[in-house]
Amino acid sequence: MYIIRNALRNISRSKGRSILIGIIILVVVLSATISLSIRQAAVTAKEEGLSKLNVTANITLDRETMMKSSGSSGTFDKDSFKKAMQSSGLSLTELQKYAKADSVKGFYYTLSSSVDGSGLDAVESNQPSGGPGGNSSDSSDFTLIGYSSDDAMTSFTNGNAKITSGSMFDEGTDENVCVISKELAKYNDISVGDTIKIKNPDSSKKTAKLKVVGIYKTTASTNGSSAVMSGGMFGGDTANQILTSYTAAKAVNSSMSVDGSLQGTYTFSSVSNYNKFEDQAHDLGLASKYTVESSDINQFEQSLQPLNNLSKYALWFLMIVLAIGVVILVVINIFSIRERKYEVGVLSAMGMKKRKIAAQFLAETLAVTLIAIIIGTAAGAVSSVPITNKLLTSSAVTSTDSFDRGGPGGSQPSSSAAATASSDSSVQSTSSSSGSSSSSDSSSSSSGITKDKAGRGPIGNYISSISSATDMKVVFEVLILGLLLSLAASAVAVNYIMRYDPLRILSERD
Amino acid sequence: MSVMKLENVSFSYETQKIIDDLSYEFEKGKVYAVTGRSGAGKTTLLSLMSGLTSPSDGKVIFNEKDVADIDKCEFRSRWVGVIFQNYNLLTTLTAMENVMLSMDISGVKMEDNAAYARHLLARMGLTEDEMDRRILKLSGGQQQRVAIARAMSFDPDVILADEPTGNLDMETQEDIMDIFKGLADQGKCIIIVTHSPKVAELSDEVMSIQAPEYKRQ
Repeated sequence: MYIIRNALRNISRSKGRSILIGIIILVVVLSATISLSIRQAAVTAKEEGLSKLNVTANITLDRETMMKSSGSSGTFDKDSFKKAMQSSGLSLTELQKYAKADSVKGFYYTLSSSVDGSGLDAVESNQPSGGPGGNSSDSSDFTLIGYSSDDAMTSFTNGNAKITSGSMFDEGTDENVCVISKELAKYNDISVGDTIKIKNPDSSKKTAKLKVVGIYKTTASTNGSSAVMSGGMFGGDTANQILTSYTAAKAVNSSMSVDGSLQGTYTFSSVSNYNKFEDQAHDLGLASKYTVESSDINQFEQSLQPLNNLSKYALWFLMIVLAIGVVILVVINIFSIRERKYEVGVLSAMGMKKRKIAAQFLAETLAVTLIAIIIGTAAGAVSSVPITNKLLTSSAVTSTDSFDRGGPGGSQPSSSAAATASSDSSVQSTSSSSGSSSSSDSSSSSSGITKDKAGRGPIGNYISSISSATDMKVVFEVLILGLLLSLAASAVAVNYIMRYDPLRILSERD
Repeated sequence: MSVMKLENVSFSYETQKIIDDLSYEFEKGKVYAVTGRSGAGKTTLLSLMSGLTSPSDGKVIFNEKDVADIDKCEFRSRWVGVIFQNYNLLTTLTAMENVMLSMDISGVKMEDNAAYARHLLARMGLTEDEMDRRILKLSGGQQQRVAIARAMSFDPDVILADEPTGNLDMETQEDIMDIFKGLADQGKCIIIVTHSPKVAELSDEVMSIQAPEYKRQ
């Protein structure tokens, strides 16, 4: 008890030294709190985001595996690869079979076809052909998309698109009815109740008629960069998409002799269920050349990129600050113990055991550390959120800028922004005969959207703010770090104390 | 009955022999004056008897036990009180705190440690105000008194004092010697290293030591 009393007395009587040590520990603790809070924010954001994420996935071809297996003795055979790719489409029956896996919550599918208009002009688009998700070889004017159910029309279910005139066609209808975008309707002076005519791009004689029952408006970008609807595999402007039921689309395709692209989407109630799906699908007979992919998770993880980067840098920063802090504290302790050598000698001559003297010196450092931890953690907790948000904002803008410059053709990376934790997004990848591309349809949450500098809209859906960061785990980690820091710094002092000979110290003093 | 005994004690520092084959017995209830020329090894003898250093040869016996076999910290904090020539007080503490710290280290539990410390300091002639002053705010003589009070604080069997009256006037020297004699009457053994003929005169026994080279002459 007297050791602690002595330690506290020494702290109060040696204010200069105590304040100097306290400031150094405070800086380290403050840095540690902010760094660990940023890391914790990244972990929490990921965990919470993944738990809230409505995961959708698609079965896609594992092209890497297929390329390896094409040809013989390690050489790549392009023709054999192409052939294999073309014959690798999964049928609806097969897709439905895998939907019976325990982990699957729901299943829907779309049929997308490239068609031309007959007396119908496509809305001019400034979208470069052949961008990511696009198909440069396809120059069709329109994309006819047939949906298996209302659930498949995610842009409507999540509120990104809504009918402004007329009504949505009945789910699963076999009538030749469709809904078109407001832009397309305006461009061609089409009203609800009018009939549009489409044709096979390769044969103008093969045509089909669809009655427009509704006109929709989408909140997504209309400059052709954002395919709000599923099935954007043709890279068409969203304005030029004609939406109908799967049954109707199949019948129309049949009448025009057009091959459609079938896309199946599986929904999961949790990430863990999604993780189980691939094995379950293979157990149900899915060939090994197929793999399961979820753009939701990829996009969600992409949205965390600035936060993860910040977390990584913050930890490096913490390590540097810790290293510098330890060195400074060790040096101060060495000077301090040399300065207090006489005190050690007197205490030892009075019969105080060296381990108790060491404990007193340690208690002094620990007490200062504890005060610094309380102040530093409180200050860190208060400042970590605004600091993190400030850094995240600049980091997200940097990421967005670099993202914007990257990619083929300098275009935007994807037709959709990355999903955020709260987004209700669906991702659809093709499992059709082309099997080559994937597109996604996501809605963006109201928070965490970073617009580009020109204000063109959300081009990178990065998490750019957090609401809380410092929790009990961070406090505990800071406490442990602080204690380790003071122990490391005191170790030198303890080493000196244990080696000191009291008589020698007192003789030198004499 | 001897409380402390030197049995053929020798001590060398590097190649130089400081104490050579010294034997002596110290009894309870007596005041001893250790005299000798400067460099004769008086302070070294005190260090040997306080366990701050060990003899090169021979034994220091305390209550029939070889000091070499006793825990030195316990020995100094419980059984032997040392008054150093330069007092060796903790300058960051007050007179009271120095005395109380000594009591804390020794584990002495009085009814009221603070009151006992004040009593000791008052007995040494310090005023209430002086008791609560930091050591550096006290005069040399006052520091000497604090050092004596500290050595007495845990009621040791032996008090070893290195020139305890060196900075004191004649009157105070006599006061201090009265205190020591009082302690001896209570059964304590007081061993004083001194150059003062007055202290030697007031002591019960005088132990005169000389450096080995003088002895050889």
